[in-house]
Amino acid sequence: MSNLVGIDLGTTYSAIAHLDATGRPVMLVNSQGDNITPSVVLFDDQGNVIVGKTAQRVYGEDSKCFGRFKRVMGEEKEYEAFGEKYNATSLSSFVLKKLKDDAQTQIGEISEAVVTIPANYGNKAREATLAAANASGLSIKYIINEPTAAALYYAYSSGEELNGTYAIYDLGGGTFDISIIEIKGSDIEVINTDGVTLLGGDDFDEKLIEIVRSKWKDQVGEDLEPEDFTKNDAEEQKKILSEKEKTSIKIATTKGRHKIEISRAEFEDAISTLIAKSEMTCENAIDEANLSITDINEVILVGGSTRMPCIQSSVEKIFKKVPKSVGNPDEAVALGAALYVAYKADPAKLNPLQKQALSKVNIAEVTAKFFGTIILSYDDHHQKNLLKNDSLIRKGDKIPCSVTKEYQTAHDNQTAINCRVTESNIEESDPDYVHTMWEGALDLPEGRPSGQKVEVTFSYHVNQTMKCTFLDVESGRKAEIDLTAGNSNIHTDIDIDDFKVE
Amino acid sequence: MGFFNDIVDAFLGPPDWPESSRKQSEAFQVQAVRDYDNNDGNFKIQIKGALSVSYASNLECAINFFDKSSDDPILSLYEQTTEDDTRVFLHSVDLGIVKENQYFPDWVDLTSFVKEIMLPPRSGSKVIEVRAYLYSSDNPISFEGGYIDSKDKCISYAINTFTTKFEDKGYRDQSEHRDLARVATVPIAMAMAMADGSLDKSEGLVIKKWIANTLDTYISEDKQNEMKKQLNEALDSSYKAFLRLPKNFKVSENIDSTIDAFNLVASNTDKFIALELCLDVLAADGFADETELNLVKELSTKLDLDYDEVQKMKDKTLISIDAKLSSSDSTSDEALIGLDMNLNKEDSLAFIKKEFRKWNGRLNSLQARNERDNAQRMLDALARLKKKHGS
Repeated sequence: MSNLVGIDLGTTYSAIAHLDATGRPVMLVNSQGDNITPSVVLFDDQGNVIVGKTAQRVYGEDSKCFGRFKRVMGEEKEYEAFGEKYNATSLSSFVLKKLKDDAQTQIGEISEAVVTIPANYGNKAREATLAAANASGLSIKYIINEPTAAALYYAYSSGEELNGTYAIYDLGGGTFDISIIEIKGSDIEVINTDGVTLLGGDDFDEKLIEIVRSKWKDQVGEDLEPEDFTKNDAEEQKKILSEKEKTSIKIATTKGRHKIEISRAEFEDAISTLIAKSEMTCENAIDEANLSITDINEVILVGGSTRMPCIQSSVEKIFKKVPKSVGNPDEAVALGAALYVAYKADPAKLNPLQKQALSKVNIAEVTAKFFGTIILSYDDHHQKNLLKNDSLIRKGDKIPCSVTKEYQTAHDNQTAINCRVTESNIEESDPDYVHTMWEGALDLPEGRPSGQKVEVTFSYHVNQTMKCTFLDVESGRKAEIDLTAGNSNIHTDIDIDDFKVE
Repeated sequence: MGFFNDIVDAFLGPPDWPESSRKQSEAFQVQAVRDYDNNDGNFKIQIKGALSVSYASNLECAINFFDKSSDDPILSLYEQTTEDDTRVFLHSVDLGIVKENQYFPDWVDLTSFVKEIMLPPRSGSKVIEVRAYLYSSDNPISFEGGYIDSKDKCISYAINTFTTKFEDKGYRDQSEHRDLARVATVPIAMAMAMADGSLDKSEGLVIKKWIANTLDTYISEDKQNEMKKQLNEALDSSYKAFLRLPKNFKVSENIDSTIDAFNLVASNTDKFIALELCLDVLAADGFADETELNLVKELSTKLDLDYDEVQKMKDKTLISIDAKLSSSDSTSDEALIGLDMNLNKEDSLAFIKKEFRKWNGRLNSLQARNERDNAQRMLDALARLKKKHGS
């Protein structure tokens, strides 16, 4: 039997789960015996890379200790320790390696893995996550959106047969996702997904730090040094405020020992604009799915930040119903990913009990983005031809899907077309607001008048790859490209050193 | 694409016709007639008479139009019926192989077209000349500015007139009005620069650059000098007019006559050009002040511009500002986002939600760090507005 694992690579905590021999998704503990591992990496002066709880203890105090790097996945931000430079991809690969190594001591060699990502991730961040997974030595065939994984676990773990429309509200340490799913018995269909890339517990911690610093200045008359009230301290106080109406923080510095009191109401007011973002995202997700609040049967909470009372109140206010949790909100995504990796695996790799368990789920997937191309189009307002993004595949189209659109060459004797494949979270006509996934030229025969037909076909396949073809109809010349379109089946030999920035 | 339909399918005269059907061949002729089979705005071009070939040739017939009173060519708004290098109307129809002494004994339809694609020099009722040129496709004629490169290549030539009325401005009207509109743009840009009470150097430089670029569009040196004088005068007088106003003046209360003058001569395109300049002036100092943002909104209303298009242009400006969106904390989120304060609560929240969706969707597509930061600031502003209007 193969060892298949699902990994929730989180902003503040990560987790790994697998499908056990009886077909149940179960968490795999780390070397400290915990189900979740802090996504924090410490480089010590002995040349060791320390990941997890030990590193977390000095996060915010030691300049060689890094966390929250998932928030800049795929970006150019650099982290430096002992002369070496790292980025979010390389740091994430250390976290994934720790999860993998700890899991392998329990279940043996891991043969396949799925890593989860925020639904709102752009292609660069998705590719960077895949690169990190491959660099850690994991064999990754698929990645899955975090709320989809949570929905899968919810559908699986519910004791009764589900029938209706559900909202998965996933507020973690760094990102917020909302997914609207339809479940009919074993059939799960993701209707719509939306999210905010920079919204999570880490932002709430920052607000708490702001309050503390402000009160400190009022009391002491000087600025509070960052190491005197760290992110770890803020997270701890935030948890207290989820349990109590008030917290009393004792801070000792060279300026003396002072007590700062913060009420829950005070904290909630400070984070209310952040919560407003999640509320608007929920409303938009429902609108885009052409549903109303009353169409949502249940709201499921996922992610550690959903433990905060004000989050639960906000969800109740938006959806007009009391939200539910599915098991431990920190673990649902990893458990769902474990189900997904088995669901996608070769059935020959599963035992009869595992196959039986997976018969409870059947996922109909949809595209998470708009995919289009750039064309020249006459603009009535400015009375000239302007570049415009034209969508072929729409967000929420059921996979597999294929769309062909016909365009024309713009000029006489046009000898090439600049072919571009774009992605965007919303339908965008402005090329400045879309991400170009691929760009290349298609050479055309000389000496032809304008108006030559060019057929563009985007085919999004079940294995989450997208084939794009630009065909000059008259000559038969074409440009073809296979793209990963997010959920990739890329296999590359990657060395961790490749991700250190020179 | 069918603005121009070629419809030659008529029979030719001798030598293959029976003797009884022969008519005396006439000279080559052309005429434009209303196409009553289709819309009233359509014309048919017809030809008849001798084709004057001395041996079997593959003939083509080109047509173009001139305004009789000014002898200016008619331009085409449709790219496929223009000369290669100009916008002057030109359309050629392949007549096929024509034998010696063959002719069209009766009027035959050569082609039909929609009048809306014709751009005359001036508006109003006009006598239009239709000119037809017969030539061999083995020895084609080249056209430039409505005129042929060689009379020797033209086998036959015909000319006729018809009268029609053009409602929209002609290209000479547009050109003259465009010059006036450019001059009238400067005081509007000055108003934008003075919206915060003073003209910054960076703002002045933006207007100067715009004037220089505008002058580059004029080929004639005389015209360039004339426009330079007018644009500089407009710059000077509009600035001094603001200086004469009492301190704490409100630009919005002193701009109506400027806009009225501009609206008299400006086309929709001129209006967007003016707004684009105003947005460049707004962004010149790296900040977007509330008075400037409100003025953009006011301008879009008074210029009767499409609000969605204005928002798109404003978004582009705001996202590219290097420093920060607002120079002072007093700039309201409403002004930044463009929220109409007259909207009721429900409509306000709907607008805020729509804008949030837009900026949140764009965030991951933006490449430059300052653009992402600015998009994030817009999201923060929208979240504050949601809190303010939602409670």
